[in-house]
Amino acid sequence: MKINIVANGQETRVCLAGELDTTATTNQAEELNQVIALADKALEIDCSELEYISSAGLRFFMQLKRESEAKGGSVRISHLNEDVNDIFRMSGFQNIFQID
Amino acid sequence: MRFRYVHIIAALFLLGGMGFQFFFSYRRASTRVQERMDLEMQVAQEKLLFELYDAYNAVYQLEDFMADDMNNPTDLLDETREIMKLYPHFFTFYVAYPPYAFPAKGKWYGLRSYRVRDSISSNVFGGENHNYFEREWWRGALESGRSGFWSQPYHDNVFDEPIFTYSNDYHDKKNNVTCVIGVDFSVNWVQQLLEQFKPFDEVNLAVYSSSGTLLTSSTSQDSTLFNVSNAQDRFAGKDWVVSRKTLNPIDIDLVMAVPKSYVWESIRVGILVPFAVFILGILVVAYLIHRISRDERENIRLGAEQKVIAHELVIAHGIQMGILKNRPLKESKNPAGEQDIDLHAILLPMREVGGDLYDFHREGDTIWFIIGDVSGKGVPAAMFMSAVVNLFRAIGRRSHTPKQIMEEMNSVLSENNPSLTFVTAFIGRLHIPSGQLLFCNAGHCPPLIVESGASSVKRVQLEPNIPLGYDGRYSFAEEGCILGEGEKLVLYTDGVTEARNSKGEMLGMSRLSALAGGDKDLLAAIKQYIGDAEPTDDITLMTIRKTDSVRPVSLRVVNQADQWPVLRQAIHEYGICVGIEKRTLKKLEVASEEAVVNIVRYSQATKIEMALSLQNSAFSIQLSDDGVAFDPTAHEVKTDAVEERQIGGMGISLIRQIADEVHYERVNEKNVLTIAKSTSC
Repeated sequence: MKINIVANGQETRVCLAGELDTTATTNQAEELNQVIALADKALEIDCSELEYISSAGLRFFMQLKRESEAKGGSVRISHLNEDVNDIFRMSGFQNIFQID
Repeated sequence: MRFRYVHIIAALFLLGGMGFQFFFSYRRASTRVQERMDLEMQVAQEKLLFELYDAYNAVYQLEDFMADDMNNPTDLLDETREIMKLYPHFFTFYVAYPPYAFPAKGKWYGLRSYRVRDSISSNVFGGENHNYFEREWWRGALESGRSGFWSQPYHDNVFDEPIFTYSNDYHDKKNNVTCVIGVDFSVNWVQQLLEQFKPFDEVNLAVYSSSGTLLTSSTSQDSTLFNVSNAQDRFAGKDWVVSRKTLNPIDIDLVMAVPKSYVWESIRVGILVPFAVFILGILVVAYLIHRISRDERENIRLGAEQKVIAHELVIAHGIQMGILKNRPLKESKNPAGEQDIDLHAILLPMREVGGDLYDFHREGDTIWFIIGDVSGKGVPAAMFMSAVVNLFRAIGRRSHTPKQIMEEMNSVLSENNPSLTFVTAFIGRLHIPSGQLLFCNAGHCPPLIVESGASSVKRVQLEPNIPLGYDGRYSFAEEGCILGEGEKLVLYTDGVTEARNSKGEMLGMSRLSALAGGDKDLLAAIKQYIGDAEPTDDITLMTIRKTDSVRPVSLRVVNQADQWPVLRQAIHEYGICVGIEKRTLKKLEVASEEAVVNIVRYSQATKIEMALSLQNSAFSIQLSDDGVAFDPTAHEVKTDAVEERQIGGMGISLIRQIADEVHYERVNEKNVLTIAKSTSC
């Protein structure tokens, strides 16, 4: 998968592209941690190019939310496609995240 | 080479013929001219003599007159006048007396009438200045006796003309010369009379004295009187056709001559027109022969070139046929050497070489294959075809799925394709035991599947996409199906469906389907349909029939997280082949991932086995591991309080929500988890 971080005024946008699965969270843990390090900021996670997510990916989102709450930042998720949105819905994540 | 000289020999023969024709025509014409002039001269001569003999009559006439009236010579003058009137061709008519015949008149006394133009004048002549006793006519008359005297032509000083004279003496009873009577004729008159007998305008006339002096002639340049030059020779020699008569009694030569050029001119048209026609004919024939022989040479040259090209094409044909795999039997067998498919492929190029192609290669239980058709025909298409086949071989061994192979080939073929040659292609990958046929189509004709026992023939439903070679970044749809036991995949090029029989009817899809489902060998049936008709395109046919039974897809991997993509790919491909909806397939992939992650994390298993199957239109994924017993279905699913959930629990929750059925059992010290989802929803 690809991770692209863009500071955009007050909000920082993180674009996730590809598949956020077990393989990605294992192999790209470092990059994902860089995103988590931004948890004190107002973050927009742009998922327009995110094609696949499994519980490993959901775990990343959970981690991000916890850090954000601890550091006084915020997380906003945008542009979920249907497949990913299905998983968010099934896992109940849509209730705990602000999803645009 | 011998052709070249034919027209020259023909021309020589014709020219020889023309020469003979000319020679004989000329000879005949010369003779005709000669005879004609001789005849005219004969008549002219007789006419002249007839006219000259008038002199005798005139002389007798005057003698008669004198006999009547001898003593009155003055009256004679009138009489000469009268006689002159009677004989218009007389130049002068006169009577001359001997010396002192009339003392009163003196020594000379002559009376004459002469013609000046059209009138007749008369006078008395003779004297010191005109001593006619010295004249030839006087002396000749006295010497000639009774018959009279014809003089040679001589120059008359008075009239400045060449003349000749007939004279005769007259005697009294004592035989004394009483007088001499003479008639002068002008040589010019002779000439004029001759003019009337000219058979052609071109005839030259001349009068010569016996000594060869030219007296008169019809050409002005010869008119110099008594020209001393050897004019006799003027009509001698080869340039003239001459008719010559001596006019007795005055002994002058009458000459009629016509230049030989006239003879030539008289036959010129008769010779030249046919001659021109002959020459023209020869030229035309020569030109035609030249053209024919040139065409012949050109044909020989072209023929040689054609032979070279044909030979090269034969070689190219051999190369192309060599490129194509022709030992499908070898690839029809599994690694154990058992035949599990029935593979046939044939390419019949319309010309020596063509743009159709096919290829296949087998690795273990999987066979990759391609069938394609390069746009265009003949050598250019064949060159592209060999590139496509080689590309498939190079890329096909590295890439995994037909879609990947197709996209990589498309990228290469589109990169450098100035001629915009394109290729339609169908690439397939058949996992033989499971019958999983994954394929990717690039604008090629949809294959047929003949069901076992040939009960029905169906067309494989597919995305047309685009042909290869246009857009190197095009994303091709990935599709698939399951080839069941005894089912036959029929791949073909449009040369098959567009093949025409002798009536010009195209084979078409429905006939092809019927033939494919028939008992006969398909290729033989197609050939029979075409019959004697000229093929219009390459014909390529490849059939793959699965001969063994369908077995479920099963994989075994070591229990490691990095093996998940292998399993996921297998699920993905199987999902495509069984035609499951894409969103459902993706969810199944998520469910499977969660199950595998659980095994990796908690089971301490060494191996994971996966079996995929389609049962009662449900997609079934069976995962088994040799780890510690663990039943994920036993866990309660909590959709709320997400944050509190165990990480593993979240995965299990997802599995249970996605799957229609999740089943766990412990069999032979193995955890067996089955995740099933209906494909119909």
